[in-house]
Amino acid sequence: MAKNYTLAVSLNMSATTSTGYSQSQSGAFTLNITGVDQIATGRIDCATGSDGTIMAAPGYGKAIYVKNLDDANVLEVYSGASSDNDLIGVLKAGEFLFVVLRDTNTVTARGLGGTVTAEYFAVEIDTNA
Amino acid sequence: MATQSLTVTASGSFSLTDSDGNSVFSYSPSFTTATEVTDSNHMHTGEILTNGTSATTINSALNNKDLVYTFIKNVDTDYVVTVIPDGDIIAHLNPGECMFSPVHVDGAGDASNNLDIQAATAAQKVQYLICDGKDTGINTDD
Repeated sequence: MAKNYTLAVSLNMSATTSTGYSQSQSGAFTLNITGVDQIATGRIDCATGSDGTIMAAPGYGKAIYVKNLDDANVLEVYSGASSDNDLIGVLKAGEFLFVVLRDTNTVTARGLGGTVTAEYFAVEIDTNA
Repeated sequence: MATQSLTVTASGSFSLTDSDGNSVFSYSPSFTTATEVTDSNHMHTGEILTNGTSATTINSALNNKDLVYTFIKNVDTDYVVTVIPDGDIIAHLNPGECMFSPVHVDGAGDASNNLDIQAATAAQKVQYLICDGKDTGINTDD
């Protein structure tokens, strides 16, 4: 029998100016996931000029985390092929993103200026998540 | 000449557990940007009620459309909220869910200016924090 899963998420962002002015936002939630067949996690080298596949097309949607492990080059992350006009984020060295997308697009990434190693997870979610 | 100098720190914690209590994975990323003067004009936070189900712009005219660090949280109780920079959907957030991404609003170098949110079915409340980052220089097809 297929297993069920719980994804626990916590996110924080703060921004500060040189005058000491600071603002922050945070959030936390869980996704209870049933009846899915695709959990992708690991590291992948994403070349310049071609799409590295983070996750094949899910049946309903996905929760995505991608981190740029390179020390110099930029990583572009897409929902769909890079030609499909769905750029989720642009990650400089060391940066990450997290989004939830309720669509059936693949998830791809490509390096800019050189091959970039991406750390990632992409968890398929169902209609109840 | 005065300049604006901005620094962003982001962190997260993500863990997946199966129904037997086994840990599948756990990640705890974080980063802090260099203090940037270039392309830095505006950082702002707030809570907004979407304009019904119409696209509602949350970035400002002063924000750098080539890179804005973006945190968005659906703080309402009823319907999904879609996050749409440059006409493309980058997140669907159910009530209580949040996202974070360094967003390239002007993906096509086509002078797209808007980072929008859009609620399904009826107006929803959203909280956000948006802060300029330094342009990466990319000019992709989006």
